[in-house]
Amino acid sequence: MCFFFYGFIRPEIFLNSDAIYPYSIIKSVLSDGVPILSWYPSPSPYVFPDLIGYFITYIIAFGSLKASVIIFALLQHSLYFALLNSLLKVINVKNPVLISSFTVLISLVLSTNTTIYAYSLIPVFHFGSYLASLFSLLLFKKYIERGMRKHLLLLIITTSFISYSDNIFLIWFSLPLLVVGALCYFKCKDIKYITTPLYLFLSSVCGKLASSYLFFNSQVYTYKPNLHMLSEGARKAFLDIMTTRHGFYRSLLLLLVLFLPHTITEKEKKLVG
Amino acid sequence: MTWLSFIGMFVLLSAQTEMPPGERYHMPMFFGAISIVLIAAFSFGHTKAMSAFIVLITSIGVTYNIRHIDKIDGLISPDEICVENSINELPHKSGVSSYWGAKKLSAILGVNIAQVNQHLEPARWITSEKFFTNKYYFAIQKFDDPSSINFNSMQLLNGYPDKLINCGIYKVNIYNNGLRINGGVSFSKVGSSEVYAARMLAPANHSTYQGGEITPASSFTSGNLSYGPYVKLPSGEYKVKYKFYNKSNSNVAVKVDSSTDAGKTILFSSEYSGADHVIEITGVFNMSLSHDNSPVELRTFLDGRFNVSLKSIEIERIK
Repeated sequence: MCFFFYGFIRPEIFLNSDAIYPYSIIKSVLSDGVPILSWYPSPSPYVFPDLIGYFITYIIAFGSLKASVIIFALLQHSLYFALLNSLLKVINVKNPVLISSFTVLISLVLSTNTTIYAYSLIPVFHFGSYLASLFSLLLFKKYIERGMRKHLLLLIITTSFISYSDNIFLIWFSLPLLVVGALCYFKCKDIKYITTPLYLFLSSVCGKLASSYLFFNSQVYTYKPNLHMLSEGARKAFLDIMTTRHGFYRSLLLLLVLFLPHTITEKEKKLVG
Repeated sequence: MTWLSFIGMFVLLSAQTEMPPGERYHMPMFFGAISIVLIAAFSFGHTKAMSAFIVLITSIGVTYNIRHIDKIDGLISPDEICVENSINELPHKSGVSSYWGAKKLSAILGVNIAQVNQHLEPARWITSEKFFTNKYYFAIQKFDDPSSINFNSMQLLNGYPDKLINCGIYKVNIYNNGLRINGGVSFSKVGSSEVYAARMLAPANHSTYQGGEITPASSFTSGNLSYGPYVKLPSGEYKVKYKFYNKSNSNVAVKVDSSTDAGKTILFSSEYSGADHVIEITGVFNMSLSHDNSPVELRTFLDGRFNVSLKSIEIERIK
């Protein structure tokens, strides 16, 4: 952390008008006494975890802009380490602490010269939704293992609230979980793998609709699944993978889709064995 | 299972083809890939050797960065310090800038900076209404921002700045007596009013600006003199006053209207004929709920080529 704050990241990453939105809104409400309703919010409200995280940061930093920027980056990476470590433990990966530490370290080093990794240092650039995806996956695994209803309830509340905060959560977590759940079902024949992701998908859709209807400028852009999956969507996906850089990035999903069902169902497999 | 996973992946990709083309929308692949590669690497055992290898690779990366990346001193650039010093010298600390300048500079400098577009119209996008006040004294242009304030638009509206300060990528334009922005009033309250000086309106094809007024150009025969300002008005009742100068003091014929729906719905129209030096046409119109916050145009016309110039149009919400 000390290394990259010695001036190796462009200040524009921390202080661009998008990234500074949580600081501006919290400062205006807490320090300048401006009513929150005087704000024209961002199309994605980013309430959780970005605005709540920045609220805590602002208090710790006593309102200082420079300190807030640094504390938020520290807070976000500490959370990244803690969530990844817990998730890796729950899915029985060897050396979870080492893997989490190296993941955080490598992404920090990459953040000095690769913009996509630098987004992990700032709010409202969707890294919060990535953390929320790790958290939700952790809860999902716990629910599947222990079957406690409180985990399911917490999961439903979390997914709807996060989808409301940032619609991309629906694409990153709820939709892939439907596919992963279906794959797990083929492996373990446990109906929970079908029903739970379905509940979460529906709660995410509710969250997304809430942000569309509660914020007047949210119709400017939203993330929506392509409903013509079997015709136009499949053709586009194939062309994307073959011809575009972004298609290649998306095809890395293969790694996750191959990896997750094996790890999520590991315990059941052992039990069956 | 592998085939099922492959099909599952393809279904997912098919469902996501409507995503915007930006790397950040694919963030889990970038961050997830690091973890997955590490999990695979550590699954072979030899934990200490693998850790040493990763530390070595990371150290090489850090060393490379130290050698190849220009170090930046501090979060606030010398250009921004220059802007800060310029603003600190001003008696009134309220101004305007574009989207990529306003919020950032406002946070750094701790002063009120409202967000405007290139033509000095309020840009109410991820900002607060509190930044929009009645008086502004500086406009900050940012040259690496394509949405930065257009100098010609600013000059048409306010004249040449009293002082210009160049601060690298920023230019601070100072107006000692204040500067106006286009449609700066929201009309959310009864009693709100705005005077659109001619320079805040647009001359029609055969008209031109002259001395801060809109007058017929040499090619003008008859028809539209001015249009704009497309001010968005909430539903309610409004009083409008058009002011012209009849420079030849001879008989002239002037028409005005207030319209919405791109000119299709006429809210108010009136005609004047006479020889007064100062011509004032007033009227009242109603914005219905179905037209709530629709852009309104306040147009003027001359029924012949007269030496008449438009001075201003005043609008006030009365109900």
